[in-house]
Amino acid sequence: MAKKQITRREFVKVVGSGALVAGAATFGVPTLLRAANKPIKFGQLNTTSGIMASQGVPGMRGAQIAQDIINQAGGIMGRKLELVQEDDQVKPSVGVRKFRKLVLEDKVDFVFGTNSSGVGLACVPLANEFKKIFISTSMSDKYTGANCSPYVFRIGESTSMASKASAYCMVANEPGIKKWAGINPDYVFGHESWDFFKKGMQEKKHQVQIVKESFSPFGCQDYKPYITALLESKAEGVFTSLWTGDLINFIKQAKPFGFFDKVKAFVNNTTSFATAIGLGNEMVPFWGEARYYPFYRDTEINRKYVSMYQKKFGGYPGADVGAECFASVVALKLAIEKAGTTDTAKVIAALEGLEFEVPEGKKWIRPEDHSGIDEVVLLGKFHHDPKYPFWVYDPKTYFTVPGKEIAMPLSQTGCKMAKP
Amino acid sequence: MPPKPQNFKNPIIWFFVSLVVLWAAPLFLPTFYIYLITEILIVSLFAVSTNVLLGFTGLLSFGQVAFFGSSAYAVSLLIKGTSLPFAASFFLSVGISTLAALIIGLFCMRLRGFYFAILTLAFSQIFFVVVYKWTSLTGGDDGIVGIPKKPFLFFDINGADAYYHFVMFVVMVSLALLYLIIRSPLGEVLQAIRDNSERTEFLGLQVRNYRLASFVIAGTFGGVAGALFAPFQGIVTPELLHWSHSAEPLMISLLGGMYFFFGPIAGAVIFVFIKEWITGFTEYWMFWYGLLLMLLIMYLPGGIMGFVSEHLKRGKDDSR
Repeated sequence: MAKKQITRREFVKVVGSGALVAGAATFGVPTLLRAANKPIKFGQLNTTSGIMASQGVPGMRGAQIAQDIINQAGGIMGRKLELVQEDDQVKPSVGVRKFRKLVLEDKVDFVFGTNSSGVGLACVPLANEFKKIFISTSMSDKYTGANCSPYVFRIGESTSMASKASAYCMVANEPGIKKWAGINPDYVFGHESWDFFKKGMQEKKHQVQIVKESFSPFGCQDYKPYITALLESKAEGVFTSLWTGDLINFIKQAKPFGFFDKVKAFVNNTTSFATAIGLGNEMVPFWGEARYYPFYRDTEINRKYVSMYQKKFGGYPGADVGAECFASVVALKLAIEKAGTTDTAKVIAALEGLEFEVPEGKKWIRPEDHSGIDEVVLLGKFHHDPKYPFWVYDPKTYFTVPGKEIAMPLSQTGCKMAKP
Repeated sequence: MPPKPQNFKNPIIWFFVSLVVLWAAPLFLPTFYIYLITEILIVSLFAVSTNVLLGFTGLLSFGQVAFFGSSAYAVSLLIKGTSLPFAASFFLSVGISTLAALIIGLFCMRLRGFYFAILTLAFSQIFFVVVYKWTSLTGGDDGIVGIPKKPFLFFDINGADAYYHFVMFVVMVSLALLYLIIRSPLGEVLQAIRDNSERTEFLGLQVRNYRLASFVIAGTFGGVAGALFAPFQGIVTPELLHWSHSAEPLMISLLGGMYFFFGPIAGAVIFVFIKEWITGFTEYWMFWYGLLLMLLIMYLPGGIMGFVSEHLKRGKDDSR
């Protein structure tokens, strides 16, 4: 029996076609599968350089924790979640560039973040232009005001909620103080905060005298002129919306003047707990408000968030924005699953009216104006507790206002939501 | 000295070649790069206009943002606050920069060298503080947000590609005009002033007036760049008018080669790309840019164009 010889030509043919099939298998078919399994991309803008980095870096970390939890549980509809994180340098012009880069070059499906409303509001026109969902983690009421947009959401507490709650808290706890003054950063957030604090006093029909209003540049280095002017005004109570780096600088510079002995009440409407961590034992007993405070709520998700943060990064998740970025990722994940797609219009519809639980409590997204509304707004007075290396709220002083009660009524927002 | 005809022949060909290539760019480049090139074009125009002072008149001005910024703010306010057509707002804003350059120039021309640089810096800081503090008009630190791209005459310039074409057209025309100015007898006088102002004065030329003319030209075209920039970014903030922004066109000119008309354009290409790419990895992109600039000044004092032209010359000499 003649042995069948395999000619070189046949050999090449067989091997060649085998290689073709194998090639098709490795490159062709799985490409189709890969398309379905392509990660879902969330773009994030926060401030990770400069003196505001102490708020932005935890923002990135909060989102990373949410990403870990989601991906360990199998991702979103079987697709992995990928974060693309960019530093906005707290500059609106940089924020706009980075927003454009995230959408056009990184081709992200959704964008969230920002520490400063100045940056976030600058991104709103781009969200509209590119028809991309943008969830803000900064606080301005303008996101959900007269210029509200179907593409734009604010994940949580707004400036008006935090500032009015601060006023309510002062009326309840320091009713004897009639002479008030304000020191606020000279940009949209500072001006809004001060206006809403005064409005909160009016709403409670609390008669007060405003003895001094001052606005310092954002990132101000020298607060001494403002401190002496505040002291000269003989204010008994001082409201501030300076945040993190600015507030730390202010407190450090005001202490040698005996500022916190001369002023009976000092109240801050944002990032207070991060400030307390930043100041350590140089802290002073003031009334603070923070969108997230890790020791208030004993829920499973809060314990998990705190323990994952400690394991991955060390320390406590002190910054408000960390929890808000966590919440943004969770909200998007739930909405995508509810919609069954990443299609923008359908995810918008799914986000509207969404209720979900995050470390800071339950959140609800009001469908009419896309305003995130927290279960409660929490304030407290800081005191020294030997259990921690930083000051914490004295639990006896917890002051809460339900979010739905303090949220700006729809009739006042001026928002007329368009169709996406 | 009248320009030699062969000097004009090549630039005209180059002008049309680059016009065609740039015009076609959106056909083969993704939108992200169209944005980058738009920015490069605007930054180029700003740098070339500044270089009319720096490289061709020998005047170091630290205040060129005053003209870029005032026109950017003017065009934004006119677009958002009035119903004027965009073309009118555009030319009005450029006119404002021209006027500002004329007024500031009249003051600054009394001084020279270091004092001139400091006075221009002071004037630009006045613009900065006015914009920063006049919150009711300029939005203060928040700036003016959401500046739309309204149609220019009959052309719809809304959208990345359309606006790119508009910017390209305006920048190319402006660059051509600046080139003609530099090659004109006026440009020759300016370069004579740069090389030896006393000698030029002895020739009976009013050095101060020529310097003023150069200052106004630089301010006007800086204003054109500013008026293009505002609708492009969709936002203007006081940062635009900060003195540190004035250093940008100077560094770009140094990088590209300040004794060459096209130097700042080469510099702008590299500057914008470095800014875009290195900021992706680190926020300290200025560190790397500074390092590059240091190396260039130490080893290539003529900038990129200086290096290129040196090599071209050497090549020609060898072939002879």
